[in-house]
Amino acid sequence: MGGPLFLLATLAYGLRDLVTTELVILLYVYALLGLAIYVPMVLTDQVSLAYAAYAGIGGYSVAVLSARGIGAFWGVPLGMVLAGATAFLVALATSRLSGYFLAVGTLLVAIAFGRFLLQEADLTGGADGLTFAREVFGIRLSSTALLVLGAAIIWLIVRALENLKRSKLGKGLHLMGSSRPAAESVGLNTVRFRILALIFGAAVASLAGSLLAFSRGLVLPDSFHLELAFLILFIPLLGGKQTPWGCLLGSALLVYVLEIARSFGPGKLLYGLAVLACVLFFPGGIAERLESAVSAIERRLRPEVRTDRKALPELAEEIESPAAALEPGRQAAPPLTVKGVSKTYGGVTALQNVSFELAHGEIMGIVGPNGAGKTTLIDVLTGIQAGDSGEIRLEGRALFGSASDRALAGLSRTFQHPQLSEGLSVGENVALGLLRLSAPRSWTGMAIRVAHDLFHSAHSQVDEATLSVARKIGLSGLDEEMGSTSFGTEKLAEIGRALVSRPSVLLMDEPFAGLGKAEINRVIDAVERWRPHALGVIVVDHNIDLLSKMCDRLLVLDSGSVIACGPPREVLAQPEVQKAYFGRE
Amino acid sequence: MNELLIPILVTASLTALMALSFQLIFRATGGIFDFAVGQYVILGGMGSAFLSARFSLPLPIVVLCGISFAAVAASASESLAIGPLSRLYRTAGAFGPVLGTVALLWVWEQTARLLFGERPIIGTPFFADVHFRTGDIRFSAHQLIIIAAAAAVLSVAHVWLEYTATGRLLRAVGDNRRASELLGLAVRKARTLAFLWAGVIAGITGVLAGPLAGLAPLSGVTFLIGGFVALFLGGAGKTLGAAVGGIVLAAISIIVSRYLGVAIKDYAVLALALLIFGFRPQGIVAPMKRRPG
Amino acid sequence: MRKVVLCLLAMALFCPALAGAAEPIKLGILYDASGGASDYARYNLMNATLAVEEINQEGGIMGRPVELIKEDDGNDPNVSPLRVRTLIKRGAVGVILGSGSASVLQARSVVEEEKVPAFATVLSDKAAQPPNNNYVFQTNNTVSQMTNVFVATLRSRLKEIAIFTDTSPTGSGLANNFKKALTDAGIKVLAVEALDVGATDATAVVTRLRDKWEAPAVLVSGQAPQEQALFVRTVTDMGWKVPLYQDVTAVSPAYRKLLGPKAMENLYYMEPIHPDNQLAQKWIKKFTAKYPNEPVLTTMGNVWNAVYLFKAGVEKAKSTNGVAVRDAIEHICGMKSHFGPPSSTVCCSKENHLCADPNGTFLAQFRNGRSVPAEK
Repeated sequence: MGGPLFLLATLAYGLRDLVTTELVILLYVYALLGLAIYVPMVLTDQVSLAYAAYAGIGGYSVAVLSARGIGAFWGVPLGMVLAGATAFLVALATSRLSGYFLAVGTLLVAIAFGRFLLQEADLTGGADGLTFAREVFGIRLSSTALLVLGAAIIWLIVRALENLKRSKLGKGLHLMGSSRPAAESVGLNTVRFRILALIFGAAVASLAGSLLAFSRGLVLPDSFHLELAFLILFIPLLGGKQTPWGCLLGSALLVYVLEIARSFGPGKLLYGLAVLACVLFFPGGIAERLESAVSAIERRLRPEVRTDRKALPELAEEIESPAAALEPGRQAAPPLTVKGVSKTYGGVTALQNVSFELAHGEIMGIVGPNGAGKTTLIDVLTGIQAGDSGEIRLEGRALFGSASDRALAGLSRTFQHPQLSEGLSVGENVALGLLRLSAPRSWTGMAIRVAHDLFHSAHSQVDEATLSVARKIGLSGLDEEMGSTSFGTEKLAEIGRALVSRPSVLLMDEPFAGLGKAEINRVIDAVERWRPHALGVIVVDHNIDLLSKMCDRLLVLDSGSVIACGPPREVLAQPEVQKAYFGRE
Repeated sequence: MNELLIPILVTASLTALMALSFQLIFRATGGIFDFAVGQYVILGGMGSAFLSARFSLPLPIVVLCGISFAAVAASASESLAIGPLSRLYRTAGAFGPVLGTVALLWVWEQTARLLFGERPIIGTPFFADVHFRTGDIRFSAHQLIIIAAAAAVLSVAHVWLEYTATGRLLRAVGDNRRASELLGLAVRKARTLAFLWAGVIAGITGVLAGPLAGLAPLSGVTFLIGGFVALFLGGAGKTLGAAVGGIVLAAISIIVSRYLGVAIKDYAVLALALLIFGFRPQGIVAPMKRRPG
Repeated sequence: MRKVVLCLLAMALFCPALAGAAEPIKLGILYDASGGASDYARYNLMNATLAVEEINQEGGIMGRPVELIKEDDGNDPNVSPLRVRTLIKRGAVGVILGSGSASVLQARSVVEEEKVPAFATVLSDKAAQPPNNNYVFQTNNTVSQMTNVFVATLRSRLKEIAIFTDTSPTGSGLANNFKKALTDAGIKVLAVEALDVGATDATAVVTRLRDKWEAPAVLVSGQAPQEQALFVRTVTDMGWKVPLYQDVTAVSPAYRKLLGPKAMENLYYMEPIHPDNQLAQKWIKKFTAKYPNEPVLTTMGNVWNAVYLFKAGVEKAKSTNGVAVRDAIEHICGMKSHFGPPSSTVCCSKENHLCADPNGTFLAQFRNGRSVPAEK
């Protein structure tokens, strides 16, 4: 694509003379800073104002170690570690809170860092800064060498990010960007991944600061001032969110616009207005607009090429049911046991002593009028909220923890409003469910997995598991892009995603909402086709007629309590149910 | 130590007003933090001082003009930028609005520079030569006015938010944006009003703070940081949060500066903030009505 | 025919010389139009422009006009080296470093590399001192020189002092500079205390200096004037009768307005302009004529000195080659100064690039609307 070409172009421009070399090195520093915030800000929507400080950590580490005779080179990894550790601490403190807490926390870090630089003048040189030799292991780094090095680093990082994007985990992270609950439901610990994103950003920012330090041979507190932290927020905006190459374009635009603005009197005013206009009119970033314009032109020039839909391959083996895969002893435990679950919110009892047991291969419907507690029950089962009391067991084992913990234990779910990833195809969305089988759980596991995916180029092929599930539930058109499909397809895709990892229990939240008759039948059909696999299915809805037809048992909730549980015919005949639903006898 | 009491109250008053201004916008837009609020303060403070120095207008006129500058800037920001931004970025989270309001910060900063010049201007204190003394605490009429004005504004805001229909609507929007979008037009009106009041409060802050040290176009950042931190320390969900946050931040800053120096103060504020966020994220005051996770 | 040819040949020979004669000598200036240093950096530009105009009116340098080319770095030290390189690329053979101190420090390495003489206008000593400084000269009185004046004037009274500054890097740098200079001169520095940029109250820092350090005198410095003015006013309001010594910030009329007349009376400050210095009065007159609405910053005499020093260097070297001009400047001594007492001269040497007369700035007090030498 245009990215690598643009990088080469900047390199060529930079090699012209010393002035352009230094300009392009500065551009690369900004681009690296842009990449640093790209990951947390664009991919996980976290705004941090500490990036100038992290760059400062990188720059000063290099200078201080050089001044102390240890060698400037070691400052680079040291800076990355220190910056990453700082980001980790701040992220831990603010991880469960809304985004602005992170912004405040990182703002204070930036201020404290600035103060530290001035205060500890013995270490940092104070306001006069630190001069150091621009060499590593005795070899002097010329500006040209730094230019090429900068380009290489950018190329490496962008490629690594692209690798990650293509990997299964990367697609899961993409899903996390549009829907955290969906990512949790495929087993991704979103809290930890968001923290990892911040750490990654801090490390890259530190690298940028080291590059800046080497290019100047002098670090000053003002080189990493707070306004820089605000300035770099605009790089992904200018460059576009679609691809990391946008950061290079964005920083080029930033530098260019700043240069132009400078030649006018009220330059900064124009700059502010220009940025405001960008934010208002190009929410996806300028590069994205350019790109869509270019593809629009492309489409007009080239005739439509019809691609043959690949027919789904025939499968020989039947798919094993999860129950069959377990040891015989374990097979005895029911997929889901709920005992005495209660939940109160500030005076209101949402759930009262709810108990039921789901059998293998059973489809249970949970119904109740509005306010009966269905949503709360879903939340408590999936881990979004903690119950006040009671016990939940999955396959005989206690079920607890966050939503992603429970997903990893074997509980899959679908959402009332499908939470899918628009940038991926239908097949890719379904395949995301497989993450549940391989999602890393521990910090080490995550770090290793991310590192692996950064450095390996994945082959994207729709795997057999996805194909077989799709076939089974009647989902076709796997190559189509999510977002251009019908609502019914979306619902089916979510079901596919939930099933592809062979969970023990499937929980469906209002699966029929918004569907037309034909599509409702598709969904019912899909669930029916899955019966032989003997997992437990819970369908929560308020359409009691539909559920009566498809479910083996109905559980009726009213004002938080179970008022009936049994085969649909019996339950519907009960007077309490009649009263709750129809108001009278 | 007694000598620090009035400075703490004065600084707390100004910070609390800032935090309140932020809070109104924050709640009215369902979570957008307007980084440009510090600049409304500058427009108000520099504007009134500028008019007073250039044209020798009487104090009430100058004060009204200053407040108007700030209110106009806030309203303009809302209708031209923040309103469209909050509609555009409904699902995209903080990304767009943060950038938009930072851009606004620069726009207003440079506007102040163009209108009022770049040199700092100092306003005339109200009742400049009047001083009081109780025991060994000495304070000026202007300082007393700052404290009284802040208390008054905070009280009025509290009443407005808790007991009037528009105020309650505003709180509802703050708690659940999607639901209130269904309520349509009334929300727009409440938001416009909230911005107007936020601008007025910022203008009052500027007019009050201007005579203290002098204001320059670039001075907005300090007000921004103070208000920002105070709001989240105290709790963004209750009007009281602004006041409490202002007092706590001012007290810590001034007391630590006095006894341990200004560097320790910066470290202390950072540590305090991280502790509060980590262990009591709803702020020092009552909880925000937001579901966890 | 031969005459024509000879004429043409002569013209051909002369033309380049003529072209050379008309070709301007470019003097670059790095300044700040919109950032934190723009308050005073603009005046660097304005005064440099006036000085260049004056020189051109009197025939230029070696018959060639001087052209002032400017680059704005917004007081961003990450960008300053680029700007200076651009100036040099555009043909500047001398550069006035007229932006903030951090910018000047970053720009230094560029002029070293390009071997172009530069003139720093900041208070910090570091700009024109070794190591790695062969091309930067200073024509204003720096911190150490001012400290010597303080000490010389107040030797009997000054044994211990505390320093007040603001929390900006420039302020911090100045304070450290002063601390070192004072300590070297035998004065004990009890403490360096700072007030946040943008603060609206100075009580905490004043009480700290008064009660914890019991400072017998305070040196007031910093980047922006507001914090310094707030400090001085708070000291006055609190009735603390401590002698306050200000650096050159107090010569700014804007500062005096921030301070108010009462607080000005308590202040001792560094004043560069002596009423009997003809050269100084001349440029002040020119400035007020061209910019009637702008206040006169008496420190700007150093910019005039810088421009004239550049002129003298080029004339002495008879070339615009950077090394030659630098060598020439290092041998210039005795050039009349645009500030200081009438006898003040600008004197540079290879060992000492601080060219300003050490006694150029005197300790003054504000009486009857003007600066008068302080009572000893």
